Amino acid sequence: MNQKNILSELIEKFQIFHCVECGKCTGACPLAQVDRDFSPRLVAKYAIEEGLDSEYVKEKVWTCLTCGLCNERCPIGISFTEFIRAIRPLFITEGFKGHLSHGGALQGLMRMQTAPKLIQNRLDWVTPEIKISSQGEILYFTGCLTYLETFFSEMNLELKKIAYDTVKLLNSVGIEPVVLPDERCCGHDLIWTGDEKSFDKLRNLNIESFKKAGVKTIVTSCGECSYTLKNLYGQPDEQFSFEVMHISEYLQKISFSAGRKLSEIATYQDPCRLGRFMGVYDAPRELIGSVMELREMPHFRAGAWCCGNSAWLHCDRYSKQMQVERLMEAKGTKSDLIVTACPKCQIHLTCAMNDVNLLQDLNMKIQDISSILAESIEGNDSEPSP
Amino acid sequence: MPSWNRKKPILAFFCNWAPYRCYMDLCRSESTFHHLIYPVRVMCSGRVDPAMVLFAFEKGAEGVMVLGCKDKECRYGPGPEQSTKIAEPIKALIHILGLESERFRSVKYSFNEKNRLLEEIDSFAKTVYKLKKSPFVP
Repeated sequence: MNQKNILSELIEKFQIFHCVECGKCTGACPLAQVDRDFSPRLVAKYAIEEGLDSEYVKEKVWTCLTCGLCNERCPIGISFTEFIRAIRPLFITEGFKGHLSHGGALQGLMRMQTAPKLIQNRLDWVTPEIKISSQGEILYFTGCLTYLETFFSEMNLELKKIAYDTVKLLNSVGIEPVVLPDERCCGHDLIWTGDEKSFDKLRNLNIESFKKAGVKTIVTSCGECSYTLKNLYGQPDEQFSFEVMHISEYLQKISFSAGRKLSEIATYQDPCRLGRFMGVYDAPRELIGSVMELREMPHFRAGAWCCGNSAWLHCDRYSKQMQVERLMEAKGTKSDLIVTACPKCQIHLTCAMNDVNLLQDLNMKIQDISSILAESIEGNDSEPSP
Repeated sequence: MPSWNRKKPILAFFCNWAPYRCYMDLCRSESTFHHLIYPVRVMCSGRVDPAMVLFAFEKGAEGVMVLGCKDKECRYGPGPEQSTKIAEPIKALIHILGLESERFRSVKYSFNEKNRLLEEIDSFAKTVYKLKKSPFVP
């Protein structure tokens, strides 16, 4: 089947023909607010009218944030982001017109993890104080935390501490999670940049190691990992199936009770994959609310604004503007810290805070939900980080 | 003269100025390379970013060298400092990926140091060939 037929089939599958051209997607799109050239409606329109030859689609298919706000607004219920994901591989063969941030280094790191003989040293955050096992029903999927902390070492983010704190939380409720030394990246950023081949390799390698460890439930501390493992891995075969949960969902399910109250005031940044894609809004809010006061930003829950980037594509002045606007919303709540449930939101927002060109002081403490919960059960602020 | 080692390739990013001139001097002179490398000429060692080094490893390079001018001798300004800055993160990243950190080396040269360049290339190649084959296949 040639590329053109694949595109028309995808248009049919995602019901792009049903678009009534109301333009609500463009009105809601956080990117269209700052980049007047971008319009999800026009992408849909030109994809139908001109298909693969459309210069507009060729360019804009890569700038889309895939945050999913347009899906929420669409009165027909078209899943625009899923459509974008499905057509991106076609536009790689047609000549890639996107821009990979950091020179494509992060996609490179993920592609390198597809090598079957790889022996990684990714568990340097595991200390004797926390207990992990190699076989069991509950697995903690670390994701790219180790790589990201090293890659963004200039920013001094404590991303490995998220993994440490998540395991500590699970230990506190009597669970010794499986943490795999040969775990690979979930492949989220590869499939969203159109590299389906490498994604399939990672998926197969990961499922193989899940099987070996006898896993039934996977807990993650990243919205993107949860979404990918749950929705894009599928159920490999009838004998082996697993359940995927974000740590906040899991803790809510086992009715986790937090320790002491913290005196800070928090505002919560909804990660798009965890919120809009998986519908997990309440669990993180309840958990944060149980340890500290929570104040909402003007755009929250299903209407939350994106942190400015996804899948390490197109980090440009528009991203920066979106990040600044989001940070100003957070500042406006007069809270002490931003809590996120996705390490990438943390990286992107911290990057905007560190920008020397910003005249306004947007510095705010930013922490992962696991870290604040771990702090509350520890009862000791001056606990050394791993 | 030994032939290219295609099974265990070593890539070297040469800054166009001092290191590449040393390399050209070596090629013109009678000196013998005991180990050969794949030279990639860039205008400044500061241009080499982690993505390029990681891409070389992804494509099966056994070792990667970045050869730049000495600090303060750069024609553009902060090039060598920039290339020093990326060295530590790259070593840490390839360590997580299970590669030995000796596989990456960042070295600085002046115009007249062709013999040191020859020694450095040979010692780097010797170190790298002693290691196990890289798990990455192009």
